[in-house]
Amino acid sequence: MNYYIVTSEVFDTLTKENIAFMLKSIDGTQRLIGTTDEVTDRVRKFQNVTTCSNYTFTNHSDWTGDGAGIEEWMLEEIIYVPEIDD
Amino acid sequence: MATQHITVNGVAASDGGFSPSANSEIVSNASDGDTGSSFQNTSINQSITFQLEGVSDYSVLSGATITSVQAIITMAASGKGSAQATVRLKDGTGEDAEVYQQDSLDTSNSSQTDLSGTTTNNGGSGFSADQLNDMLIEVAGIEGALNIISRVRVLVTFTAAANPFISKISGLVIGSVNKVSALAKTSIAKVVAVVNYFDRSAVAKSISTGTSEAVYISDSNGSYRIDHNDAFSVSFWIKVGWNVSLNTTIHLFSSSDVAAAGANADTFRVFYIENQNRLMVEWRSGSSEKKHNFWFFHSNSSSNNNSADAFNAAGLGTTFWNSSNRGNVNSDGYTLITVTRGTTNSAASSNLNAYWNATSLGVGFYASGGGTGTPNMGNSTDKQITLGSSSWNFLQSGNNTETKFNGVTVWDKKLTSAEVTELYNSGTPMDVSTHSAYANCTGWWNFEDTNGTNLISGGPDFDQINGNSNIGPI
Repeated sequence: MNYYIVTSEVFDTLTKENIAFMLKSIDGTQRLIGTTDEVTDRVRKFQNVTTCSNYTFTNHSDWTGDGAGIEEWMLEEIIYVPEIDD
Repeated sequence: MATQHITVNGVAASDGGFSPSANSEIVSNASDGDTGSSFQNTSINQSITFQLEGVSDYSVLSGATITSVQAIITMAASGKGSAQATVRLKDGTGEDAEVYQQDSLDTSNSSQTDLSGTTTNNGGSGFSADQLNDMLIEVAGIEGALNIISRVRVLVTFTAAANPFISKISGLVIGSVNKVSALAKTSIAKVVAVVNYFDRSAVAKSISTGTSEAVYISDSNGSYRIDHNDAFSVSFWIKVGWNVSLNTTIHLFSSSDVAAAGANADTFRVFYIENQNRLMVEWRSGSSEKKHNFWFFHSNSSSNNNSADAFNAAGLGTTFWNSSNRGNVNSDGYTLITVTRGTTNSAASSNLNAYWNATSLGVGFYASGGGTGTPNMGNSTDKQITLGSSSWNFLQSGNNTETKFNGVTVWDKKLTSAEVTELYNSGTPMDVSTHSAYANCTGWWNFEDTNGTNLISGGPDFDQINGNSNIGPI
């Protein structure tokens, strides 16, 4: 799985069926995604799920409201379902 | 003993020099429970003295014996140095006012941080209702400190009065008992049924995380050990405290092996994913050995196994579940969430069900159950059970204000729909000992005392209610 931060505009162009995880940033301008696709037009790319998770803990105020980040199990298991999550 | 937070509701004296400048705005920001709204000094050494809520604001304090008080402020440093304040609990604004307790509180954390003063019992004599009603809290800045303060409150520890309703009724009943009629007998029976069980407390889980803020039990006596194929039900009343900015997960009920290193340690959990508006149930023994299902609440549609069932049961509409949109609740703002599971190691709708109050949420998103592999949890290891946080690392506790839990029960059977309806009891937390399936109830915690006593004989107590988590009024 590839983990990225992309803008909301870029997110709208991606193939939703290949996206397994998606979280909107608090301000709604960006998306943290896990996808099987390669995304070149991105804000940030993560080496793996661990570095992605660590980034959200460091920058938690951009992504969550509880003062913590996104744990690895959440990135791997909270599945994005376009038809009910968009 | 029970506890109650009281907050500020006015300003008795102020040096001025605060932002916002209006006392009403300062009071609002200091009392709204939101760490995102605050006030701060704009010059040094400024002092402000607040009035506090009193006995008349909380019925649970009426007639109570007030044993101690403790000042708590939530404060952040500006980034230019430590925030420092002297906090005094006192009985007036004059120089001759009696100071019950004075503490110097400081933090260098730029995030809002709860800072607690010393608990005082007034020299052992406690506090009268008048003393509490007249009590003021002064927050005085220290030279050079810029204090960004979001909450000012006092934790009151008390022993509740004997049930006032019983004493009032008793005189009438005693006076009438010698000339009892059939009608009076019926009335007396109703009175007895009402007063024999009276649930007026709940446990509030602090929004801070970690063991030091957790509500949990370590089941060292082995009386609670859920396996992957045990029939099992868990039910709890919940009053939601998070808001729409949570944007992540909050764990509601979670159980793992004692000293678990991660989620794979034989975990059974019920959690809510705020950013997706999903209630999820899962049990697992490994990252590839897990079963789960979820219900989402914002789609009044026949699609996805008729998601309208969950939509209608919750009553949230298309807005996600949060403290401003609690959906179908009882008169105290609580929802009864119940999860029932049969003996099959599957999260299919035929084996795993969930209820909002007395109403089934219908078929979960995965009609045949989600997950991978075959969980094998074993039942030889004692469990660590949490409310309001994950059971292995005590995270995911929400935001905004504390989420409250009450009337938590676990059962060694899959409760039927009728039994869930009975447990819901038309919206009133019930005396579970009168439930028709009581023989299968293996744990019942109604949080009517300080340590979360288990009312099932021999079962473990919620003996860890830590930090700012507390048992208090519903």
